[in-house]
This record gives sequence, structure tokens and C-alpha cells, in this order.
Amino acid sequence: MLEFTQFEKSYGSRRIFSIASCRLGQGVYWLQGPNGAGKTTLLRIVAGIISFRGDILLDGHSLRRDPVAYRRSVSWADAEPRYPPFLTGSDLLSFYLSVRKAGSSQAEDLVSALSMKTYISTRIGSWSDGMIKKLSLALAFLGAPSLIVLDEPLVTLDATSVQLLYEMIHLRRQKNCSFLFTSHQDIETSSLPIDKKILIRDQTIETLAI
Amino acid sequence: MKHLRPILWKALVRQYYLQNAGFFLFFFLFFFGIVAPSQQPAYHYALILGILNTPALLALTLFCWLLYAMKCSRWIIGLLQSPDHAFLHVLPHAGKIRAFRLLLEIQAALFLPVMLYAMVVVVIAYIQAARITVLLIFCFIICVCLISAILYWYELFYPGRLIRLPVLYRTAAKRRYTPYWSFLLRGWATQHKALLAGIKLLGCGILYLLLKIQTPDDYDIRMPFLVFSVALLGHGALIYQTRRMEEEKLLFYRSLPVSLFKRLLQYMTLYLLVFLPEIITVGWLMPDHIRIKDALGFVLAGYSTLLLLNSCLFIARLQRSDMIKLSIGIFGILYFGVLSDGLILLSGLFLLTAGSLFFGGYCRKEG
Repeated sequence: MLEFTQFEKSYGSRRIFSIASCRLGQGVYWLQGPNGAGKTTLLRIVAGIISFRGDILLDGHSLRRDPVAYRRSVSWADAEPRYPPFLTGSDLLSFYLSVRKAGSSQAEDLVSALSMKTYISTRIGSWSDGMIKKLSLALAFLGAPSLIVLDEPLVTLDATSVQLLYEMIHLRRQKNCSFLFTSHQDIETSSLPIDKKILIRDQTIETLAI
Repeated sequence: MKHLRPILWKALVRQYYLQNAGFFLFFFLFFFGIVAPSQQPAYHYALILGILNTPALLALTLFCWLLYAMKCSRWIIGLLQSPDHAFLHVLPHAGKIRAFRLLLEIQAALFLPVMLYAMVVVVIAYIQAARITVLLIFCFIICVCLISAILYWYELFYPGRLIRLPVLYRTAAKRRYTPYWSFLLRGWATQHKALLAGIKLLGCGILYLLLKIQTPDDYDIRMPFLVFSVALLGHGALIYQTRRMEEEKLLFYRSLPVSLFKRLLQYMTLYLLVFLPEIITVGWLMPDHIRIKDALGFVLAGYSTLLLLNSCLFIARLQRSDMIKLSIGIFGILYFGVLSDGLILLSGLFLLTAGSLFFGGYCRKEG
């Protein structure tokens, strides 16, 4: 599914990652590491947001050579999502639907499942952090990506929404969608079957069995 | 609570003047840079007499001051609503009256540039025995400061209740599909509308007034273009704000499956729409007051400059001061272009550079 080749990332003279080769198969991956290890950086790189050296392939699509096809296969939700306050949730949903070429019924289902109907058409500037977080998750689940990257998906979510998120992940797993996420909160593997943990260590990543 | 005043001045007034340095530089150049220093007093005296003797000009002046007041209000309310300035919500603990007094002080400090100029107008109006005008200006300034302070006070004591949705936003919100450039345009229309309106009024006003006096017998577009290019570079402040908003609040767009060319098209559409008023003004005055070749040079140079400024912000994380230096550099190149009668060629170079910088810089986001 996801392959890193000659992958490097540095900030100035400080090298964060140096991975000669690594391949991750389908599944749910929990990315772990101490603060500052580069978890968010790695997720943003995989999501195609920030630059790096080398290449990443997702389902055979190279982020360097075929960036549009690559980005079509991946979607991302930030740890602390921020959107322009003058936009409404509906604006962003319809924008994502058009870019990801998804059906509007999918958006309606997500909005309904995450109980966002009452406020989705209002200005994001008046929303709480939890409401914005739910919107970012709904946007990440739109379309048919083969990998969904979630940075701290449980932060600011209430208990009901956390259970809903687990259910959504279950449903997507049945459709062969993979997940790569970080979380500082404990996750019970009975609620969310995690295939492997990924540990960031010595500028590289190691996969560990659960 | 005794430290409230210094904190407020540091967080609001100082930040306001620092962040709007480019805006003030632009207006300073416009009001004081177009006339030789020795002629400044006579020029401004004549301008003020015009304001006092022509009701339409007085109304226009008050309207401009109102736009500036709206810009101040928008800025302060935006800060009060931002998470970074949540600490300001300690202000209600100072008591309703003291909080209002402090906010009134803040508003007066932000409105100071207008009040200083208004003071000169009032003195000359008093000498000219235009007592009604004096009264009108006093009432206007007092009303603007009081209303603004009331708005800030209301936002602090009753957060989130202020209705700030402009008509444009409400109409756009009803539409089904919104392209990316419309997010940026709405950002300008909702968060920087006073600056946008000011730049458009100035740009089109300068074009109209300086081109209208051109005749086939007395034709020289060099000075009109140079003055117009100052207004043109005023767009730099808006472009900078747009890029900042994109980096902070529209980061998700980078992760979406959109080709680089389509991304560039979003900016090309945005700046074409933004530059439309100037294009219409030039088109209107063509060919009687501006030759077709020169009109094409004006339009292409203006449009390519906006795209170039935008693309430069993709190659490096520029600060506001860098943006001013960059604008001055571009102004120098435009100056050379208009003197050598090579605006169209220069526009082509600007467009090519803008495209190359965009394609090269967009993917190099570091963090």
C-alpha cells in the first residue's frame, strides 16, 4: 500500500527522517513517538502537504511523479483543524465533494452520523473546537481514499463521537481502506482493531505487532 | 487590573500599527509623496478648502474616514474573537464602565491618523467660519469612536452575538459549489473589505483622473502609470494576508487531488476578478484618452504584477517588511519598463516569472 524509498526530511541541519526503504501493507496503523519525534511531520508528508526528499508511493502512485493520482488515494485530518471563520461547513463539504468527485449522499450520511445537521450551514467562526474537529473528520472520510491519515483524531471529541469514529473506521476497513493515525490517548483494541503500531526511532520507523 | 492598559495597548494598538505599516506607508506616499515638499502646505490647504466648499467632497471624505473606522473595528473584533487573544476576555472583570473607557481609548488611538487630519480640517474650517462643518466633523468623530467602542464592549461582554455576515457572504453561502478562488475572494470581502474598497477606489480614481486629462496633442502616460503603480502595489497587503490565511486556515487544499496548473488557475481567476475594475476603467477611456497599445500595457502590467507578487510568496516565508521591499523593487522595474516603453514585454516577463516561481515554489513547503 504505502512505500517509502530513499525518504529524507530535514528542518535546516536537523534531520528528522532518513528511511532507505519501507513498505506498509493494508491495515490500521497507530503511529507513536515522543513529542517532537516527527509524527505530525510524517503524517503531513504522507498527506502530500509538505516537501521531502526521495519518494512515497501509495497503491503504486508516486507522490513525486503522479501527485494528483496519489492525493486522490489519500485524505487527511489535522490534529487542530483551522478553517476560515467566514466559511460554512456546507461550503467546505461541497468543495470537497466536487474535488474528490464524491456523491452528495455520502456527505449527508456523514453529517447525519456525526450529528452536525443543525449547524453545518452556519459560519465556522461560531463553532466550538469539537464541532470543527468533527467537520475535519467528515471531510477526511469523503470520497473513496485508500488511506486516511488522522492526526490525533480523538482530541476534543466527546465519548459518543469517539464511538462513532470507531464505527466509521470499521466500515471503511471492510472496504479495504487503510488508516494511519497518531494518538496520545489510549485506545482499547477491542473498540478499534489496530493491526500494527509504528514507532519513530533514530530517524526511521519500525512496525510493531500489537 | 492596574496593568490592563499597558497590556491592551501592547496587544491591540501596537500590533495594529505594526501589522498595518504597509497600509499606512501606501497612504502616506499617496497623500504626501505625489507633491514636492515645498508645495505640501499649499496642496493640502487647497485640498481642505475643496472639502469645506464642496458638499460632495466632504461626504466622500467622511465616507473614506468611515471605511477606515470599519477597518479598525473589523481588526479589533477579529482579535477579540481569535483564540490567540482569549486572554482579552479578562477585561469584563475590570467592570463595565472601566472596560468601556479603556476600549474607547483604544479606538481613539487607532483612529488617531484620521483625527489628526480632521483637526487640521477643523482649524481651517473655523478660520473660514464654516461652523456647521466643524460641528459635523466633531459629531462624526465622536459617533464613530463611541459606536466602535460599544461594538468592542458588546463583543467582550456578549461574545459571538455580533452579526457580521455581509450580503455577499450570505448570497455565496447559499450556492451549491464554491471554487477555491471564491474562498480567497470572500476572505477579502469579509475580512479586508475596507482595504479592498480603498485600493479599488484609489486605483480606479487615479486611472480615471490622470488618463482623462490626456489628449492626442498632450499625451504622456508615464506619470499616470507611475502613480497608478503605487496603488497597484497597495494590493501587496491583501496578497500577503491571503497567503497567510492559506497557510493557517486553508492548509487542507494542499492535500487535495488538484494539479499544479489548476491551482495556478485559481490565482489567475482571483486576480483577474480583483483587477476587473481597473480593466473596465482603462477600457472605458480607450481610445480617446489612452492608446490601445498603452491600455494593453497598463492592463497586462497590472495583472502580471499581482500574479508576480502572489508567486513570490510561494518561494519564501516572507515577512511584511520583506513584502514592502519586494513591492519597492517591483515598482523600480515598472518604472524602468514605462520609461523604456516596454510595458508589454515586461508584463510577459512578469507572467513567465510568476508561473515559474509558482511551479517551483508551491511544492517546496517546508513545514
